[in-house]
Amino acid sequence: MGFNLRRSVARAGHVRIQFLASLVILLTVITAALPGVAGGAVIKVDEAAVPKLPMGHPVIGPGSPQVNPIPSKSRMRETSDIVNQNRTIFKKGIHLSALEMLTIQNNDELKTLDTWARESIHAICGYSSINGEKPLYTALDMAFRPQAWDNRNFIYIMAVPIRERLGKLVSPREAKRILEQGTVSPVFLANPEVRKLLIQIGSQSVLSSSVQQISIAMQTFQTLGQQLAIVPPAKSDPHGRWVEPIRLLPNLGKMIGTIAPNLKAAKPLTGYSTATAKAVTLAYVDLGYGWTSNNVSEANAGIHQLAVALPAVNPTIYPEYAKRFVEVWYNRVFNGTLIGVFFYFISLTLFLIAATGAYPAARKPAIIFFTLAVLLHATFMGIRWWLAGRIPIQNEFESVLGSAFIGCVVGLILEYWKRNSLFGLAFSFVGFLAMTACFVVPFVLGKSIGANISHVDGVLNTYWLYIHVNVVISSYALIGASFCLGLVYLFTKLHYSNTPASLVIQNRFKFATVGGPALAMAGGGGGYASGPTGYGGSKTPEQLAAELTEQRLGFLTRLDQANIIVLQMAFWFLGTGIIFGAVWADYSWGRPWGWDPKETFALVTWLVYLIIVHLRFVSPKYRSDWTAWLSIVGFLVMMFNWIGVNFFLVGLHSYA
Amino acid sequence: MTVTNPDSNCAIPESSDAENLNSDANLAPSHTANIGSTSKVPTGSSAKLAGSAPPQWAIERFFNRLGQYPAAIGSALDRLAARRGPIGRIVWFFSSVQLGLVWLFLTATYIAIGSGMPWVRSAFDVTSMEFFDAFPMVILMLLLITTLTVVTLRRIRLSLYKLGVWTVHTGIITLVIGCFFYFGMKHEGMVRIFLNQKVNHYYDSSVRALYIVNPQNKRHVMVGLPQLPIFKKRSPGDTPLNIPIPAKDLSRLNPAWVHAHVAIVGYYPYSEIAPTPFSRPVNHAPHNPAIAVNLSAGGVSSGAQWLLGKLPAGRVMDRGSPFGIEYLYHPSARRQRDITTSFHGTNAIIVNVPKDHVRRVYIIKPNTPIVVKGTPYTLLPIAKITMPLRSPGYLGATSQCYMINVTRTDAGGLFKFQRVALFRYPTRTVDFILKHGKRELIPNKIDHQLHIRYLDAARDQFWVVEHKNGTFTLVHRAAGGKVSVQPMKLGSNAPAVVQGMPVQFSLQSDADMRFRPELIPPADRRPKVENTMGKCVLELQLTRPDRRPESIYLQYQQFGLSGDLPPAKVRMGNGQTADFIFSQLERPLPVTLKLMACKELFYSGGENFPRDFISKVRMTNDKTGQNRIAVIHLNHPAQADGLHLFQARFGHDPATGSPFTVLGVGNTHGFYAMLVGVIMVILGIGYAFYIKPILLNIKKKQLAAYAARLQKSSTHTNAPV
Repeated sequence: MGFNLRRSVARAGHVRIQFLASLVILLTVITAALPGVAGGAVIKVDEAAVPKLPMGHPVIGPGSPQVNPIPSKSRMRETSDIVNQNRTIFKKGIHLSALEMLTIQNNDELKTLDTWARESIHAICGYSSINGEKPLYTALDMAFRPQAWDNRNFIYIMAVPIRERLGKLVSPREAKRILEQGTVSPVFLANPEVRKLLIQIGSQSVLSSSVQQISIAMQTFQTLGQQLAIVPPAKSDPHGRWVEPIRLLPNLGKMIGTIAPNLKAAKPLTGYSTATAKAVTLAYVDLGYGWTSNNVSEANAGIHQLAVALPAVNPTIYPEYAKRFVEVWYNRVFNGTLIGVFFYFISLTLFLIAATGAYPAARKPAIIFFTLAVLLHATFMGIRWWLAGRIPIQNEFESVLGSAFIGCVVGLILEYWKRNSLFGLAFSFVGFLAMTACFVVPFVLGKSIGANISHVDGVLNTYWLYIHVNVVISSYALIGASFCLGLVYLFTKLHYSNTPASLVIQNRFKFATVGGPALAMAGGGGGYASGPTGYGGSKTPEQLAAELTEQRLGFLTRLDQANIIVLQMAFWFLGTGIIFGAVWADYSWGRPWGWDPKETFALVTWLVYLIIVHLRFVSPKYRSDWTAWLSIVGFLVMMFNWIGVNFFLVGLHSYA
Repeated sequence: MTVTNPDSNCAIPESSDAENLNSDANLAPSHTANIGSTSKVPTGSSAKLAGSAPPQWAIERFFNRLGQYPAAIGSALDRLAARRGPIGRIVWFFSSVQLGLVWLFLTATYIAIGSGMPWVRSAFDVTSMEFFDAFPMVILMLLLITTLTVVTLRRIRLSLYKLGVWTVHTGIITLVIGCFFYFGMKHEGMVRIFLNQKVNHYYDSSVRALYIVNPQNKRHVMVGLPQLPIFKKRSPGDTPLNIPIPAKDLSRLNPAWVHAHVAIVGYYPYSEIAPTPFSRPVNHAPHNPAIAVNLSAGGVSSGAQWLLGKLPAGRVMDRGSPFGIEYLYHPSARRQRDITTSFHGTNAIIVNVPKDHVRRVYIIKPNTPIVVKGTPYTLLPIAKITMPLRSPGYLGATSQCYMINVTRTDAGGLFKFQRVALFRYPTRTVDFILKHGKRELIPNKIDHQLHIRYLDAARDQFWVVEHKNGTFTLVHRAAGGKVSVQPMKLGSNAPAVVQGMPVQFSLQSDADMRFRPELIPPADRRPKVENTMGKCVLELQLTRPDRRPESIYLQYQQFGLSGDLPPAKVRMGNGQTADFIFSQLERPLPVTLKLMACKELFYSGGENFPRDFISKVRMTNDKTGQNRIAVIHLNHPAQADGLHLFQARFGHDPATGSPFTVLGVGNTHGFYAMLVGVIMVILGIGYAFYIKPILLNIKKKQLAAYAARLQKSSTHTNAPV
């Protein structure tokens, strides 16, 4: 019953391969082509929301002059005009594709405007899109027309207790809406009463991070217009900071109202040529003016001019087109997580069918899907590596995906070697779990877990990070697979104890006697019971029951053996990873072991596996049961260490 | 034995069985049963029958011979275990694998509780390091390695096939012993070095200390406080502490202080010293005279604002408002005269040369020289600046200053210097001279015959003056230099006009401001030693024969005598004061460190996220005088005579902007024993899981072939002729 990929592929023919390839491309294209949906869950914002509280403090409230980055023109509309504009035609007519691929410097990182917009919108409203609009459209609208957003409920409040407390300041109906949707408007947040309450709540350590999240959301909204550092540094200063277009001509501010005639007199920032500075500034002003005055053709002209002018400012340091293109594409496919979820889920299901014996032939498509999933996983990891310029294992998002990837590669090798479907089952479960977590958690928790590509902290900027973290996260994936096998073992054993072999055979005989349907399977492992003789045949029920019992024991033994293979690797990898971490710590901080929560719970996990290894000898009769149960315990301790410690305890590994 | 499943096509699962790490644990003692030796391989039965030994590799024979020595110890332990009596019972007790598992379980539980439940550490008042170094952990480790040793010697015979488990067990024992050494001798701390500064000590991270300084002779003593609580509050009211400061330490600073009795009587974790107003004493002067003023303008009131007369930064309010307010407690007659001097201009100086009986007021402008007639001085005002003060006790204080170049032409020569005259704190006025091409600071002024007081009238200034007779006056210098003076009373209003807007001053109350520890709310606390140490207060009680006991509160600071907070000044009698500082214990460095240069590196184009901190340090061995330069940066430490120096923090002095680096310091005794231990554990596990099964498979095939040959040979021999 061995499996040979080449033979299977040959047998499957081109049709099946083409089908699978088409499926991959289709999924990629679908997710990439839906701009609104591509950002993730979509929030609905009621544009006609009316504030229930009076206007807030004018100094800190939105709409303060510094929010709008565009210098006033004499023909600039009044605020009321901006708020009441009908934007339908503008939304339809604006072409942002060229703008999305331009580069911005934000938080010391170079990224595309598309990435910047997604991150900003996510920070503000916990989702990646509002009303199904492109994130860049929303971000620019907030930057150029903040007045239009002042009274709209889009700032996300993650913590339910805060929603409840804020609800006490408004009408019951509005309180219900805040509780359900979790969104409020900038005007609401700027109200002194609300601010006072938030400061009061923030002083409680339990909710301080949640108040901080609201503060960051508000601050992000208020400063969107000031963050547009899209002009690369001058050729004379290639390591300098990127600048906002409006700063290219420093004395432009004095010419408000009469920009064009006075551009001749404007002097550019040091290092930039006058022509470049004027071209970029004019393009930007066109975009901003077109945007605020609802003039789509002028805005599009500005976008077109910016797309041409900006890369030409300093072509040597401007990120190459291919990289920018891939980055935008990578954003649109949810960093590859959704496709990964799909392929791992299919392979997981097929492996489960094959491993339980219900339909052993399902292993062939299962392994094809699993291989494809791992290849896609590798592709997306590689893309991230290329985009980030470093091995992507720096934060929770990257370490979860990296861990699953290494685990799945190990699982794939084991599956090809052992051909028992169990390794495929366990590791496709790990891949599925990791991809699902990375895809879902940001939307469920409303906070980033590191999907944004960012620089490495100085203290982590060493090869030791990759040695230590790679080995440790590999062990985490193996622990996850061991957990899966332990779980399958326990459920199977529970099922077997609920349906004794004699009873199964009795029922089959009963069915066969009354001419009932010849069921292929009477529970997990039942497929083995049918055997070559079919129902009845020349064997007595007792013989068949004994055979079934033996087959069941064989299945449990295979599960246990598979588990112990994975578990031993996890044990060894985890121990080695801990030691690498200790050596790094001693080298860099003069102390190999600091009893940091991450360290101690990694040690506890390792001790759990040490106990398993020894319990197998102390209690040979129940060793498989012990192994299964303790695999689950080890996984829970590991998960607490990986995720729980970050939330509940303070330590040195807050980045992990 | 592992080769019990010959039908399995899986090489690894058998090994798992791991190897039998202790597979024979419940069997007879290993050295008698010869468990683990190849002679137990079942396929060798025919060979035994034939009377010849199965083939053995040289390495197998080597380990079998080597195994005889521990086996002999194992036999001795067997004999001991067989005896009746306590020794036999003890050996028997420690021979159980189950017991080892119990120790492992208890160890895991202890670690999980200690790490996952910080409140437990807090309840026992220990740091994480102390918790894991406490006697339960030590006892558990001793029990574990005892059990491990006895079980290994009695139950697992050393052979090629048991090499893995032997390596792992020996590694664990080495690791535990290394840990005892390492953590028993561990010292670590921090040292902060400003640019071009030299230091030869560091501050221990775990032991705190009290520093007492005699400012007159600059001597100081350090009293280590290892017995100080960490998380538990101790206060004289309920649970007093009593840690007396030895009288000999005080008399070493000043023999007259021998009569003073100083004791630590309280400790307040999670606390900061905060001012608390008390009624002013009737019979003697307040310690910290304070007044509360209220400002109202256009119907808006500021509420009571406390001004502290003896705290330079606390007596001034001039940020964020269109005018400045200062509270002067018992100012000198000259200061009163200065602030009430009217003039017409935005910047003025009062030049006073007592020797020549000259006192004049000049309106100054940048780069407009002033010849002070009747004196040898010519003044050239340069510029007005706002400067933060770094003098001890002036933390947080800033003042407007005027830089004035002074030329003195008497005594047949020419003497030039620059005077920086301070508006708020005239006594801190300093001089600079050019010496060897460098601008050198003369803090106590180089020319004491010339007095320059700078008066800033660029905006409105108010002074609330408290006179020695207990009365108050409000001095108002409007922008432009015109002065008006009016009396003030507690509870009454004093009207003034600032830039055309009427303002009401009211003196709401006066008080003696005491500094008392204020607890951080429990919800904001984390029982983590760093947080506690950074926010705690020590209470001292000073008793002198002639005075009633006095409480002194000291806020913790990290870097001892070179810390950021001003020391607590305590009156010790006879008009003398002592400075008290609560900080970490100072330990000597084996070398003197001088910070030659330091730099923060950012990612290209960035300025928010540092990618590295680099400190270039010169290390001088004080004994040999040898110098060497070390470049320390993140993940690139340096060694200094057995101490590890690593880059911990980096920053700038908020007052002067001078950069500093903070280096971590630690010793590493016993590290290599720990390293050897963990390497043995990892290699042993790898061997047991992955090498041994391969060896066993090869051996199994070899023995099967050998048995087949024997059988063939036996059949051939017994064949009928």
